[in-house]
Amino acid sequence: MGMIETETQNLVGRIKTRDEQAFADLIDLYGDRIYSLALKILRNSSDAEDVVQETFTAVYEKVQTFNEQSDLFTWIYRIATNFALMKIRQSKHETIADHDLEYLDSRIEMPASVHSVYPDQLVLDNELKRELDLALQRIPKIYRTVFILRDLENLSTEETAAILNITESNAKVRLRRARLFLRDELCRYFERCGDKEHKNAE
Amino acid sequence: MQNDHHTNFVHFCHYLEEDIDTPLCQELLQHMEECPECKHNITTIRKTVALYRQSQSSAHLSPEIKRKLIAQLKHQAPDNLET
Repeated sequence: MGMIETETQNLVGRIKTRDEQAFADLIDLYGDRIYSLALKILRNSSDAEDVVQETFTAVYEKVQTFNEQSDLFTWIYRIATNFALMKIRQSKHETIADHDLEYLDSRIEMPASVHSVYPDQLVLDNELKRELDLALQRIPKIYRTVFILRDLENLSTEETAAILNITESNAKVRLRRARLFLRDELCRYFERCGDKEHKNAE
Repeated sequence: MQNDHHTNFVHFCHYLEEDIDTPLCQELLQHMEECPECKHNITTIRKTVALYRQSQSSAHLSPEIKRKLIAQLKHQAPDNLET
């Protein structure tokens, strides 16, 4: 067994005995990552803090049933992701209804034209950052969550599938569609920028 | 390999997840060097992902929230905590 796995098992064992320091250690170990994850999903620091509190409270309440042979990290991430997604459902901020997914999928599975605009050099200014954020909010949450877990949180396909309780194949499909959607949204944005510059120059 | 861009395109996106050493991936890499359209597709996807990664700033839980969380958990089970 690796050293990290041994340390994690020891930590879980201590938490099960309600060791206060063990819980403080757990929060130190995962607090920032859970907060970062929730913030990426919810884009709101207050909601993200709520998710952190709900997550660690749930871990505290359920740790007695946690199987120490399972992966602690995946378990906590799954709890946090579920709480974050629940908040989205409660706020009804989902922009694309499920029945529109089929149309969206057929649209995004087409390759971009070689003539589509995508600058070679990009300055990551506030305007572009805002556009990146808006584009991320526009895609369906089932794709957005996978993109966040895989490409922004750098989790593996296996970890992402386990957290979301989907197959690895499903995770790959959703990630592909998220990447394609975001790429296409950015191409449209760059085209609009090009049109604006052209009109300003006239 | 047939010059079917849509099929290749789907394979390319799977390729981003697959082991680069497989024969299929090697064949796709070769095709990408020769086909401007497929190369453009894979390049723009890679750039998009890189842009998102670059745009992320690190987020940290405030010490106050950590303290509040520990205090809340203490309150839930005061008899079980070591001093």
